[in-house]
Amino acid sequence: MNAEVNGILVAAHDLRTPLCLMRQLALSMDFEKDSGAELEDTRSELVATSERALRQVDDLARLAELEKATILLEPVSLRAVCDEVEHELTPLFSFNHKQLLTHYPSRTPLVSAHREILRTVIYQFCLGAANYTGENSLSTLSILTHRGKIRVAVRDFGPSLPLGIWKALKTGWLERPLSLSLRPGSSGLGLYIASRYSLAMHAQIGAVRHRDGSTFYVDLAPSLQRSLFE
Amino acid sequence: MILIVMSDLALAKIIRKNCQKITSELICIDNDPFSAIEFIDFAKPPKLIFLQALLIGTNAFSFLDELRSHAELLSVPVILLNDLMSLKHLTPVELADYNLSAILNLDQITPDEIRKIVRETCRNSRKKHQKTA
Repeated sequence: MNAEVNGILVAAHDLRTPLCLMRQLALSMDFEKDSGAELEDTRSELVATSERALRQVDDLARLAELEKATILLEPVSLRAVCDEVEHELTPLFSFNHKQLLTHYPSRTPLVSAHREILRTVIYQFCLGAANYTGENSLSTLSILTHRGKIRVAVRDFGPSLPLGIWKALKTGWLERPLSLSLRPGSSGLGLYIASRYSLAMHAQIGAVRHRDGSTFYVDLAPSLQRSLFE
Repeated sequence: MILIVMSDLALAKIIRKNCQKITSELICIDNDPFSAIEFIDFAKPPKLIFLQALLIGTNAFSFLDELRSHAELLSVPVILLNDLMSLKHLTPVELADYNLSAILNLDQITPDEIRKIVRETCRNSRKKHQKTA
């Protein structure tokens, strides 16, 4: 019962933040004094915030499906998935006066994964970097090879990951959401979703602690299918 | 100067927008509490600080401990913007030590309340300056 209640509280916390922001955005709209451009900016921000919240809800709902179904893995272009996530989150990074840089090798191998699930994992890592790092900070999204696996890593320059979380991630997955106490407003739900999704894909997530931030990564199996372009 | 120290930049910008409608004071936003303290050290004491309870790498009370440790910053009005952080672990006496002008819940605060607080604070600050002069 405790775990169930805890899960509900965590989900409630993570959904509260965007709703709080949307409320303030709506209240701040002054149709008499604001210019058309200002109203349009506020409207765009409202839409973007609500879409991020809806995405979080969808990711949560899909967790339940993952428990029941077998996930079919296929060759996925990791570069394409990373580009999509970068494209989607660049406005959020810009709004928060932050930057997301990408480091890809010249030839990125295919990986054996589920495209949507993989996208969610990388999205959650990048979203953490967008939300929980200092202003003007630079985060990097990298693809590299590590011990025969293909690693996607997101390095951020925010509060260092608490030791307890790092230890929990060493197992490769989280049993339950863990609050990231130094990252305000974070219930750890994103990391929990990323860990469960990775488990479903037989991938492994992990983290590296730095003095000035953290690196979150997911290790994927390369696809044995030959690329058409070789 | 009005200083807004919040981890949530989007909300900070909304509060700034509301303040700008009624005051010509310079309004600065900092989402890093450590650099905010450094900024206060070098600049004139702000007339008002909006402070979010949960900050990057720390919380509002660590920030307030640092702020109130300086004699000239003891009287700077601070509005605490509380999110989900529970304040139950603090007794009324302990809260009083932080000399907070108000504790507002982020999910309930309205633009009118923000403007009212800014207006009152700027008015009180002008009266204080007139007395000392």
